[in-house]
Amino acid sequence: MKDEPRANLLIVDDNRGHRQALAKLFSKEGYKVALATNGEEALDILSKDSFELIITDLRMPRKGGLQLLKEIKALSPQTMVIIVTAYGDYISYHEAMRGGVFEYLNKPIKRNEILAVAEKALIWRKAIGNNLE
Amino acid sequence: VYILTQTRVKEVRKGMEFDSHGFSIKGRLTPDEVTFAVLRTLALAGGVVALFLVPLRPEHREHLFPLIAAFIGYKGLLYLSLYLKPEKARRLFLLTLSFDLAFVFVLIWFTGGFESHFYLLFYLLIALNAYHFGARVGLTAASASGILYLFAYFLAPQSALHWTHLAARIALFGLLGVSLGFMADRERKAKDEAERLNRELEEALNRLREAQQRLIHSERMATIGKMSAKVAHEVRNPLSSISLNAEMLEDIIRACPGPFMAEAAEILASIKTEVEALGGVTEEYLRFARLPRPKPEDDSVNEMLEELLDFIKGEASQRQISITRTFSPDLPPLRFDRALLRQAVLNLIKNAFEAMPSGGELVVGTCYRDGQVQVTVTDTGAGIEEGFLGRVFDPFYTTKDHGTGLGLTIARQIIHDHRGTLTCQSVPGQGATFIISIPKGEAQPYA
Repeated sequence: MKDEPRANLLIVDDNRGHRQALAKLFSKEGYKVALATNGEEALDILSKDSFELIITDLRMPRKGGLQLLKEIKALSPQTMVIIVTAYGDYISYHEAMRGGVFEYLNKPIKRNEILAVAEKALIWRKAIGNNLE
Repeated sequence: VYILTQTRVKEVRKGMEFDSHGFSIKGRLTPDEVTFAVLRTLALAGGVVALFLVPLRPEHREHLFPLIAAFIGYKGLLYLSLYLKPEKARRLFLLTLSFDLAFVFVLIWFTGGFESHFYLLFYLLIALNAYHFGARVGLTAASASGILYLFAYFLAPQSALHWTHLAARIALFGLLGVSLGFMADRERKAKDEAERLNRELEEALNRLREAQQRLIHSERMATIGKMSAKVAHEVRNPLSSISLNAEMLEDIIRACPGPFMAEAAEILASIKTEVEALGGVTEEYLRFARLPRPKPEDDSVNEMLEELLDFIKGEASQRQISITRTFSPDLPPLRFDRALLRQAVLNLIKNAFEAMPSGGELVVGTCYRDGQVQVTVTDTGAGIEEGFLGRVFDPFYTTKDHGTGLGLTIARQIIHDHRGTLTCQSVPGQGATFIISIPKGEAQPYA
């Protein structure tokens, strides 16, 4: 299991502490984790590598989570995106849902909650992939 | 007389402004009426004093004392009537005008008829009444004075003076009454107009002041809202990483049991509790920052409350709090935002629960009064000290360990957005009552 990562995960968050906490949590669970501090950086990394799952913050300098979601879905619709925000509201929730986000979570998040959502996103991704094949 | 009266009116008016609770007659009569009463007294008292000084006819000397006694009694009666029935001042003054004229007539008759100088008192009475009541009463007083003067002329022995003097004096009565009356009418109209304009100006100023207060309040709320959002955002990010790190640390502690690990687990548990409480606080901050504008619809307040009280029934019984519902069955339907008003009442109920840590009674009632739908939330807690009643709705004001101080602020903001009021009454030691009043007619929220 250690040789074969469970999934390629990109974490996008401008808050260093939160980014690193998520990275540590998912690394321990066997994910291969890459980090970006904003939307632009994330798109840079995405152009070089492919990811099954992206966990992104909503409000970030340069490029925010909603714009990033839009561009990821245009680039590779199968990539699952989870939004985690400290400033959630109904409007951005609605927009994210229409943009194809898998889940929209409010900070502070719980370990079990984010792990379960990530797990579920990967199962969905697999199911959709099988259907498409 | 005109200038004297004007000055007196001003003086009395000034006196009224500074001391409206002073002399009780002053407080109950208008400044003009007080001036009028004072001037009348002066004029006629002057006449009585003069009676002692002027030479009277021997046959009339015996009537002097009964006359003065009657005059004093009559004046006393007038002032007593004025004190008891100030609303009838105008009628009383008109009634006594005829007595006063009669009194002057007797005075003239007793002091030599046409020879007497007391006919001057007619001028005084005409001038005063014309000034106070206007041209019509002025002319009536002048005519009555003329007729009485003629009578006095015929009753007293004829004098050497020619009848043209009499005619000139009587003509002057009329002239004085009419001219002063017209002047007074004109002045009164101008004064009424000035007072009307002043009232309008004051009303406009009050409206402006209210609007300004509302603007300041809403700007303040907006600033606090922005600040709350900023604080919530800044706190929730590190809070989330603290929470995740604590949970990962918990895994590590669980994986390596040892003598210190039990204590470490305890410390960690308290960190997690605090993180959770802080999460709740930021939640409230965000709720305040994002309070939506009401979208009112016709709805039943009683139904909304029934549903809400059913929802909190469980928690109330856990806290040993009994709930009493005193809903008015005749409550008219109201236009309101159900979710927001529910939130406001829920905040009041939460506040009531926290005020009764060892149980008590919660009374939620509704009624319809003066065009307002009212909801009252009463607890049997410790109550609020009078000095703090005005502050309970202030943002961030709290007396609780873990309160945000925003629950009641949010409730009041919601009620304000419905054009209503939220007030608080309390008897320390006996609990507190919060009263929501929303006008039935005003369906539109503030634009």
